[in-house]
Amino acid sequence: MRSCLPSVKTSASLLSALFFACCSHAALALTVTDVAGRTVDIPDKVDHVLLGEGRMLYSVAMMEGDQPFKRIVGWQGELSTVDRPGYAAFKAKFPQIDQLPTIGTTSEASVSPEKVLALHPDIAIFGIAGHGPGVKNELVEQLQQAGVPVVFIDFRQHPLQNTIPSLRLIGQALHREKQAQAYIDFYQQHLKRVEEVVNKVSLDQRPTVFIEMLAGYNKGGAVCCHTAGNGNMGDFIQAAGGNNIAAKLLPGPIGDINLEKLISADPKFYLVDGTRDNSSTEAGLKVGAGISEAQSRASLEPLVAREGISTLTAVQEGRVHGIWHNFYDSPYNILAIEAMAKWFYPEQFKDLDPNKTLAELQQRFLPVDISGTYWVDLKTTP
Amino acid sequence: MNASFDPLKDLPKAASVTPTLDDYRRVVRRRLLLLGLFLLAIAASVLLDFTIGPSGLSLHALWQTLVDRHSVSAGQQVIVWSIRLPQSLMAVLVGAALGLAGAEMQTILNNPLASPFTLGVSHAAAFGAALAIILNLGVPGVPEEWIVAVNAFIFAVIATLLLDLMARWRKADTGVVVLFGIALGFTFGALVSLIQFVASEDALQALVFWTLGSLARATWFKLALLAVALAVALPCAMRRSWQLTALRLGEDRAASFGIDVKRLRLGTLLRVSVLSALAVAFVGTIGFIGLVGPHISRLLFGEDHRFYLPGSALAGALILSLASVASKNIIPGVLIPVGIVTALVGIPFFLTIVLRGKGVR
Repeated sequence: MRSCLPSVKTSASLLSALFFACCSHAALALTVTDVAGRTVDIPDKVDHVLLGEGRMLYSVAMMEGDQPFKRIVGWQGELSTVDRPGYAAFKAKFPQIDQLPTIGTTSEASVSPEKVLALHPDIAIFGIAGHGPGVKNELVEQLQQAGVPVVFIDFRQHPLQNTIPSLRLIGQALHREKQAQAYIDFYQQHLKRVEEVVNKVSLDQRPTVFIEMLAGYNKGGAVCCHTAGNGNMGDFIQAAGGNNIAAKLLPGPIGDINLEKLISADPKFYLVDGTRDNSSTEAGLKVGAGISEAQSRASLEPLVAREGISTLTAVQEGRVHGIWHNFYDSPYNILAIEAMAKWFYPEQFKDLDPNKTLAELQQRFLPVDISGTYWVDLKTTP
Repeated sequence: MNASFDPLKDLPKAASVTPTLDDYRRVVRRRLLLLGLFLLAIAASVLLDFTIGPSGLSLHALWQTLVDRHSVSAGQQVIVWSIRLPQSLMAVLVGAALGLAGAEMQTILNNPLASPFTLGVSHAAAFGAALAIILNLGVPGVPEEWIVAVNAFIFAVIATLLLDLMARWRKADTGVVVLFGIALGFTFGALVSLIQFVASEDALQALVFWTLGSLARATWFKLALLAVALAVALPCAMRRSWQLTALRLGEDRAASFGIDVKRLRLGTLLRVSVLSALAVAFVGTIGFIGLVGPHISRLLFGEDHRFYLPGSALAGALILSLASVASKNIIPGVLIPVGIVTALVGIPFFLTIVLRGKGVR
């Protein structure tokens, strides 16, 4: 009995310590400011997470260890169509991906608020723009009324400015700050290396670049030129030290320029992006998980044979590269920046190997094998 | 019955036969002059369309490329021969096709609201395009670059045939045909929305751009097809212009002149279907022209179809050509879908004529 006393004492102190820990924690309940500038209280216990876009999995999977789907109760269903190879890579290890309730298909309009509320999420993570519910969606109000906080992130509109805050926000929303920070450190370290070289190059010394997004996809429409201006893919061009010719032309992050303008601007580099997978028979760049370099290059060749594109100096002289379209909506975008930097400044970035960065990213942060071809050169290096 | 008949009273009228003929000649001359003015305006607009562009090529450079294309850079050749020329000519031909189709449609259906757009032909074409763009469904064997146009064409033709079927089934009740056309439009519109719902983002974007209308895919082959269609349809329509004019007096009246109204209607619908289907298949849904071109023409030329039909074609051509100029130059370097601009350019033009109210009725 006597011997019990100290242990009771210890338990009591432990209890009180726990009590204080809990109360001080409650007093310091996590309040964050999201990328839409809204103040959001993060609940202490987050077991059910709702994702406003399927591609948020790219970030969530980096923080959830070996159980990326454990806490996701529902998501927007666009991942299976916009990144088929990536979806397949996750499915190979986590077949339950198919059973995950979807709140809509690929557009904001397709989201069913009733379904969202029925999933009883503890927190919802939405993108400020894209294929899920946006800032002005009435669903946000409805969720808040139901006591579900909504955090807005952004990888697509202004990725350069918002990638790190968004990662941090997702980390906070999931209470995975440490994991988020680990990736942020990795990201910043790689970005810094590029910036150190590129920032020294004055604007007029930077090579002109044009990126045709989803080249060849626009069946029945104009031959060309869906592209990014300030924001989206344009951010990566800028970060990699390129002079994006569409930045001065487009009023928003994405839009279409006139083919004639592209021909007369005759940029030094012509880039295309795409998302086609191996089984696709439609025109467009094949890139992503599980795609070989040869397959990817073969899909790039017909795209540069199109009239108006084939006569560009960049095409004639072989400065043509393809890149994975979904970089514009993913924290993997550091890979795009590195790949572009190496294209634009091959001398200065001789030792930079984006493939190594991809391998490291995958090995350190991801539970599945996403290796494949995410960027490709038209010309094989001699 | 003839109690009030007074031959003396009728005499002065008989005496004024010559002045009436003179009046008539004057009206015809005036209308011919007006047609000439339209042609001049179109020529000026095409010239403007051809010479203005984001690359800022000089007139000399343009001329050089036209007369000796191999003396200039490949890029410049593409700009002139594959972008500027086909696009500016496509605007004229598509505008003319839609204007003519709308005019004939309004006459045979006896309804001023009839046009390829309001009667569902464009929506049907958009549905065909959506099948190709989003579901990748097309006629087997058609090359990928053509499946959208072919699908759009097929569905536009199907829609006009349905309209025709309805017209024949309901004998002559044009009111029913118009309502049926409107229902057709809503049906295909809803089907397109349904497909959009399952579309991936990039396909959705392609479809949205398609439905906004664009001249950017103009090619010489498409131009040639459309030119042939117009070269056949316009003279055919002109040969029937008296019959169509008579039809405006009412079907019974037309029949009493010995016109086979049913045949006339069928033949006209056939022309309308080919013209509007081709136009929509090549440039997407440009709705406004088929409706407004005929009204502008009617206000300027009256109901005499010898003038009303070519007038509609020319009015349509002029509006679309001007729209093409605007679509390139509102935001330099950026191509705004021409369908958006068409309404913005056409409406002031249209309102001016309506509000001036000086048209020949």
